[in-house]
Amino acid sequence: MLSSFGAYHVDMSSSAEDAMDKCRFNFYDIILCDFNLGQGKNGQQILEALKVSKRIKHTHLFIMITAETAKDVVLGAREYQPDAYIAKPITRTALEKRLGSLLKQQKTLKPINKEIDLENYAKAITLCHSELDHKTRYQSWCYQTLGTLYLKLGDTLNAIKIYDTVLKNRELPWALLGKGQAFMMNQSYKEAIENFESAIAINPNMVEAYDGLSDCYLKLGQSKTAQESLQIAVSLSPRMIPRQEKLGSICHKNQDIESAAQAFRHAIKYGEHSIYDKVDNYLNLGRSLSDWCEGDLSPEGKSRADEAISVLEAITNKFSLDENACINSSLIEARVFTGQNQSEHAEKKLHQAECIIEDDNLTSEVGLEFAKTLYSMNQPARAEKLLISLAKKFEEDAVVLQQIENLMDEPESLIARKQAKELNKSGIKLFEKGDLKSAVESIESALSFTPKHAALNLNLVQVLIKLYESNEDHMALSKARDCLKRIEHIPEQHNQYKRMNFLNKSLVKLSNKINGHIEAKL
Amino acid sequence: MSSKETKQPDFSLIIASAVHDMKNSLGMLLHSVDQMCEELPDDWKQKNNTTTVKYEAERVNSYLIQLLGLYRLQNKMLTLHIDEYFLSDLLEEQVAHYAPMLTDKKISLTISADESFAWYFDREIVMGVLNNALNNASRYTKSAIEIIAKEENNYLVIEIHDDGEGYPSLLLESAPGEILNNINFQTGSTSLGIYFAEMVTRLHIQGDRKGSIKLSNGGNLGGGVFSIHLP
Repeated sequence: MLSSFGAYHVDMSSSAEDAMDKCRFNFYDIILCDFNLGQGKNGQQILEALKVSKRIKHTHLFIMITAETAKDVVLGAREYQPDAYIAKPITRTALEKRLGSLLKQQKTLKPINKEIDLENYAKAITLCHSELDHKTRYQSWCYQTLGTLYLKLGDTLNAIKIYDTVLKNRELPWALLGKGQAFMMNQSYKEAIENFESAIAINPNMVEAYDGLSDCYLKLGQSKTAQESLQIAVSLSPRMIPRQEKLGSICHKNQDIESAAQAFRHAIKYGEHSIYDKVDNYLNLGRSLSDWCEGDLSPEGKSRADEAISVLEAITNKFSLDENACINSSLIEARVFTGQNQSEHAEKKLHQAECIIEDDNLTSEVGLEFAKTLYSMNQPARAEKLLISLAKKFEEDAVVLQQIENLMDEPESLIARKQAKELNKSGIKLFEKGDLKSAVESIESALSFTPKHAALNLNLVQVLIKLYESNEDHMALSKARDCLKRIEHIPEQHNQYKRMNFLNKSLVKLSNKINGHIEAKL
Repeated sequence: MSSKETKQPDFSLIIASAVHDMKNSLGMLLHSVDQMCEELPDDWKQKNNTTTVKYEAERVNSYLIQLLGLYRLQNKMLTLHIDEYFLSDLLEEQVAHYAPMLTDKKISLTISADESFAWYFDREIVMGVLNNALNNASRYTKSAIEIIAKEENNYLVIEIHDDGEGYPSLLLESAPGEILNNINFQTGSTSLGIYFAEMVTRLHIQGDRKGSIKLSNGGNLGGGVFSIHLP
């Protein structure tokens, strides 16, 4: 059929694998691709792979053909932006016309697309402007491209100018989205949020606008709202794997382990056969499930533990060449078994990991995983020693240090950590109100969940000193000394280290004063 | 024997999934008919009225698409994908599609749309409505059809004129946007197409203005005029 339209070289593939092979060795002017390709990759995953590996250029046409009208499929397919989207059934004449007008457009815009492929964005911008000056038929395309190019160059001022020109005539969601992205680059999060919300009001399916909202809320420190926005985006277009991964890690940060597990489950499910079929998603799902079912011996807890084990076992089959992943997987498995009171299995897994771990070139990821498992298996001394040596090794790496601190402060289960956090919060509130006695009680009960939490202990020291100053009760000072003793192990890279030293000195001063007092009396 | 009650599934869901399957297999059928016809010698094509086969199959197809569309609309699953499209491209595609059949029936088809005239709408939906209107016009016209796309008061207007008998007065006696009141599904005929067209053009909203369809008689060719108005 295509030959009869005048195409002189037509290759056909009956499978995704064959199509990918052909695209590896040839560039095609036009690719017609069905969404549903049977086994292996689907049409979207082909486009994804081609775009990421730069095997398709802006000067080429990718046309997605599909009979699927399910919303997430269509949206997902559109997100990786094929040049056109044709719904089946398509008749010969209609296809011929459609291809004809697409080729005409492609020909006119080729000089611009060529510069974009060469990453000569400034040149592409000039060409877009001159195309607009010539009263082009493709005005809308030029504006849209100009906006994107200005954003790529970080020229938010001109980007906003372009979007405003468009918005003067019609409230178009893509222009509102672009304007929002420009404001976000300027760190004007409030304006960015307004624009994203207007885009969503017109097109409730605009997933990128939810992405924008989520990023803004993250920047504003509202990670709960960020999670909610991203959850909408994911429910609209579940097949975008990087978004699922991002959602998973935000949920994890928000300690919403249930949603995190769900996100990583989806990342694995939709990532199959795609370039995003990554071992990290399997590990993260294992971690989330392990946290979730820790100590939960009910049937639900058990089934989560089983799921965790089967996901982690899959790693050893699928990613057997990735040594670190296999070590991590065994370590997490050991935690899962510990959480289910199956210490024999846990010991076996721990031993398995220990056999491969080499202390000299231990990565931070494996080290942290190892320490976490040691804590959960009730070997805190070994864990602490490991973490202290890690802190020394990675003292330049702020992210790793933060992770080490978190683990050292709170090696306990997620549930305990959540409770401690709540109690600490109410303790601080009571302290601010001046109710020192109740504040002490609240923080003390928080410490009963996470006794080694550095900041928590230091909070208590501060409250106790204040309490002593008001009632001169010596008990308060001895309690404060206990607190400091509990965290004397923290390395000097710990962010509470200075505060600990400072409070320690204040305490010593107070004690000396008391002693002086007593001596004077004598 | 199990005493478990079987849950009654929603009948409209059953119909919708059946329609979906029918549409797919009809698509395959259309494609093979297309291929078969191509291999026939020219005089055979004339003699055996291959266009009628194609035309009737297309009609069924467009009905099925409408049914599915209405099902989605009712279940709030129909969402618009508004983008900018060139009217001349769209209309030429339709003309190319209908030309062989209309030549057979000795009906002339002309379009008038400025080459660079573009508008914002959902492509599949507007194509569906156009397709149905053209289908209808080609059944009732005598010798000519004219399609005009233009801008009027900041609305996109697409008119399909024919030189047939025009629409029955029952359908005409309504104010704009109230055409639904005059549709009586008991009498059959073209109601489904008009109902679908009205329901989906309404979804096109820009500020406080929304899309509609109008039916009138007279027009450029003295027959019926079907027009779509989109903000």
